[in-house]
Amino acid sequence: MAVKDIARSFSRSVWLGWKVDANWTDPWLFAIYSVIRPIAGMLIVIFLLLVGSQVGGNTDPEYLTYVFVGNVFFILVAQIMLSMGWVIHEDREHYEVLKYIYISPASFYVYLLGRACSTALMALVSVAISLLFGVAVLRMPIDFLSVNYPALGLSLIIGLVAIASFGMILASVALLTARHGGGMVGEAVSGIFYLFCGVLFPVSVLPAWAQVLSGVLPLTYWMNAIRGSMFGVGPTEIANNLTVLAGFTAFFYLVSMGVLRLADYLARDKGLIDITTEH
Amino acid sequence: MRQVAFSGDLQRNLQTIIARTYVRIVGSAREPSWLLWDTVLPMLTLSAYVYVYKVMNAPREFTGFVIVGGAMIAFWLNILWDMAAQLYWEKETGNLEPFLIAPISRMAMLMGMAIGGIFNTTLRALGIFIVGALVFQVEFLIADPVAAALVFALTFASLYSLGMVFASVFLMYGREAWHTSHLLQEPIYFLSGFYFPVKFLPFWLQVAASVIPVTFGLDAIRKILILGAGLKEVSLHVIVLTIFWLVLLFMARWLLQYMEDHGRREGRLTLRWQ
Repeated sequence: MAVKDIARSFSRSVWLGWKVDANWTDPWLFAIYSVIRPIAGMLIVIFLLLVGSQVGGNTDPEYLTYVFVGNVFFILVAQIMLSMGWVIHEDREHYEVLKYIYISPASFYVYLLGRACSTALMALVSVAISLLFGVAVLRMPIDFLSVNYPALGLSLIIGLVAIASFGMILASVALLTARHGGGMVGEAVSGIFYLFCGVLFPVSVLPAWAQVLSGVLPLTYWMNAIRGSMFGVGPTEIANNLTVLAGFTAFFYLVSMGVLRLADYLARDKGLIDITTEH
Repeated sequence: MRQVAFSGDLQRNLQTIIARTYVRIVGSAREPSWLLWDTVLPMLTLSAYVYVYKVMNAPREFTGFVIVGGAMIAFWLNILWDMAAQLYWEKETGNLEPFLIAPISRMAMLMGMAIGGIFNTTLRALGIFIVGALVFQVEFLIADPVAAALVFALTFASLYSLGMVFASVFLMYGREAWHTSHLLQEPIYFLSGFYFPVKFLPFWLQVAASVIPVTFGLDAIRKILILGAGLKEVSLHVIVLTIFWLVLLFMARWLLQYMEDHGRREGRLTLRWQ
């Protein structure tokens, strides 16, 4: 495919994703809906820490900020995985358009990337609002003037490619499985990253075998790079994390392409492209 | 003559309940990957919360609170997506019309979904309990099995009645209701104390949480399973859950009829992709 065609497929699918997600109401109500859920998720964790410190006696304010930042940026992972775990079922069974997307000249991989990008853009708005909410309402000690924005931007770009790659693998699996209630699969899978990538606690707390797993998940380095950028950690440490993140991201990106190709072959072979489940 | 008609209706509605339950259970068995998605993987998020409590040196029963909350999330999600949103899905896939044409009670159809859902979700919740007990050594202290059975039964009855109330909304609305179901996840997990006892919330939030039946059900289940409480300690919960059940069941019956009539008048019952 020519670059122009790829760009057009990508932009159309980003636009489609936005319309599917948002055109059921006016933009303001949609914005409120988009923000309430992540903020409630953040409040769960904040209260978990407050309750934990009350009954356990561990009152480290730095840990609260550590968890806050991890949880806020995890919105990107949760939203993209949720969206990518559901997009196939939605297109195949709900709108019944998957077969038409298949026979269009657009690349299916580019189409899915566009859908992931659309979700990522909306999730980025949720991240920004949650950060502002945390600083303004919850009094989180984050100094926006001392953030290393170039490093943060680079971390976000590479991290989003990594998350989209995992989302692609999830969408590939969805091609081969039947619909599950409400598309909770994405949420369930994002639990892997929630536990093993240092979102809520340093990975050193985990058992040794789990630390090995953390070491091969790119989002562990992504979390380190994000926190480093937010709290003004030295450039060498951020650069080290970004280098490992970039390496793993490239690997998982290639894996996602291979997995999608395999799932696509098997789905066509088994006649699953337009399957509907009525239970 | 009237007695014969009643007997016929009763039999038909019982058959409806059995048929819908059957579809729910068999449908789940046809996609065994749910064992991974719905049992093993949700444990990872729960484990993250357990580790937070460990980092904070919280007492051991808090691990049990998280595991019980996680098991109840399985039921809450089942109510939101496999019960309330199911009518929206039936509408979208064209099954709603045959359901409405059939001479059956809507409540019987929803009750079949509820029983099938409770069966499937109980298996998932048991999986979460077993993994919690094996991996995190959670101790379950059931001192009063009768109280446990009563509280579980009343919690399910009130929750699935709430599911029927939500289902009526889906008869009228489409994606608005779908997105509202999304909104009823994290905010409810927070308000109803799925990961920590609700008594730690500020008073005004506790008041807000008290209109949600799962708040009382979860609190009572935790007291019975983790703290070894008996019927006496949860008697208030039992009374409140009974009131919730009766009120919500009545509301569901009325709302289903109202929304169906409203949907017929506005031509929304067959409206797809709205």
